[in-house]
Amino acid sequence: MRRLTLSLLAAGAVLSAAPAFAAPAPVVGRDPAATESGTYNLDSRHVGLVAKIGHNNGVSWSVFRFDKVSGTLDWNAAKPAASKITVTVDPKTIQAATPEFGPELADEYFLNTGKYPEAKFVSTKAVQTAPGKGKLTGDLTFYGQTHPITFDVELVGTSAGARSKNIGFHAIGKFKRSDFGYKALIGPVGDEVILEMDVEFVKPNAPAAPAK
Amino acid sequence: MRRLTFSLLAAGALLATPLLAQAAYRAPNTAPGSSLSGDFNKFFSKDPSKTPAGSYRLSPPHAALFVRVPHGGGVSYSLFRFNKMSGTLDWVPNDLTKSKLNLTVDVKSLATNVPNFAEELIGDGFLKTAQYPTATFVTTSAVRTGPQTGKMTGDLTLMGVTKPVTFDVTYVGGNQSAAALMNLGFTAVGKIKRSDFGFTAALGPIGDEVTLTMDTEFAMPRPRPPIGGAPAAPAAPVK
Repeated sequence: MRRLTLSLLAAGAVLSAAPAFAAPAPVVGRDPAATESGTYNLDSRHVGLVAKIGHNNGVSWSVFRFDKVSGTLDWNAAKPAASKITVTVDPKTIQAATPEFGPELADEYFLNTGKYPEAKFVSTKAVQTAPGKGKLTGDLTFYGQTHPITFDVELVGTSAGARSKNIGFHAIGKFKRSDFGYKALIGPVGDEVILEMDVEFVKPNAPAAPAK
Repeated sequence: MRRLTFSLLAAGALLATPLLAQAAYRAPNTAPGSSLSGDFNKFFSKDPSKTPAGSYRLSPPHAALFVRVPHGGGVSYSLFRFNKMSGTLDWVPNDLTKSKLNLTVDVKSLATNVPNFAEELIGDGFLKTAQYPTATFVTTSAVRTGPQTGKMTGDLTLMGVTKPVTFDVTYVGGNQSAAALMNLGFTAVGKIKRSDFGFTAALGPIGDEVTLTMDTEFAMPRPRPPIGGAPAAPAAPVK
């Protein structure tokens, strides 16, 4: 009996230690109706938020990534347009191609993150425009001011796996930084900022009852 | 005889490089009306045909190469950047078929927002950068598709395997600046199947189709005066 228990424990240990790749593939689809409503957390390890801004009077696009992003999704599977999203960004975590430029951008002359340590988006309205696509409007708080912004959002995929329910999106929107009072180097550096986000939200499954 | 042959070869090599060109100083044609005339920021154009043909160099702080890879069987896209690139563009705006891009990416410069993940991805389990430290792209053909757009095909070498890939390219703008006679900006988007390059780690959970997006700025540097100063009387531009 002891040997059987030991093998079961060992098997359990192996299964839980195995990387996610080794688990059976979760069912992936694009139909909201097949998902579960509820509160999902933004998976901060599966988010890619970039800002694109015109460089050199609009000759090219400079692209910066914000590393630290968090948030929640209150997801309504039956009526996705009734869902609500909140995303919080730490602008101090801005990354450029060279390691010294990110901290320079976070500093007083540019993003002044000491004074404005948080940027936030809180959705106010969503409208479906096509299957899996919609326009998401909300309040963007940036550089200490709040103004509306609208994103084009696409539902990339949903999955229901052994550990969690997942929903992924791609969103793109733009705003004028001068509207928020952020005017450093306007002209040589663009006023319009394009925000693009790839993101996954996760709702962990309730842990299974322990075997007797 | 061998020594003579060697010197002739060396001389030939020198002649082929731009180094020797500086000995005979050729003033660029900055006559009014030419695209190289004018002050900083007075020339700006969304029309690529107004920019001069020539050799341009990628400006590394103004290069952004991002890749998107499907995650979790296709639930979302994971985003990665390669921070270090270098390259040259032989630009022939009025005949794009003659334009050539030559790019080298330092694959080790992969950046992600997840702690310790970049280290894993450039390691032996994934991109094997100890064996394949760089990826390169060399244009094989290019064609204009609109006033500011084109399709550029070239050989991408990744993890030691070379395959063709086609990019949709958009010309963003051109201008003059303090450092450059001309700056050119582009955005290029292309897709590859990473398995074509033998990069098969975690296929399934992590997608095969990878989207590459490159936002770049290239510069034709201002010529430096010859060593010893510019000629006393302004030389007529050599046509």
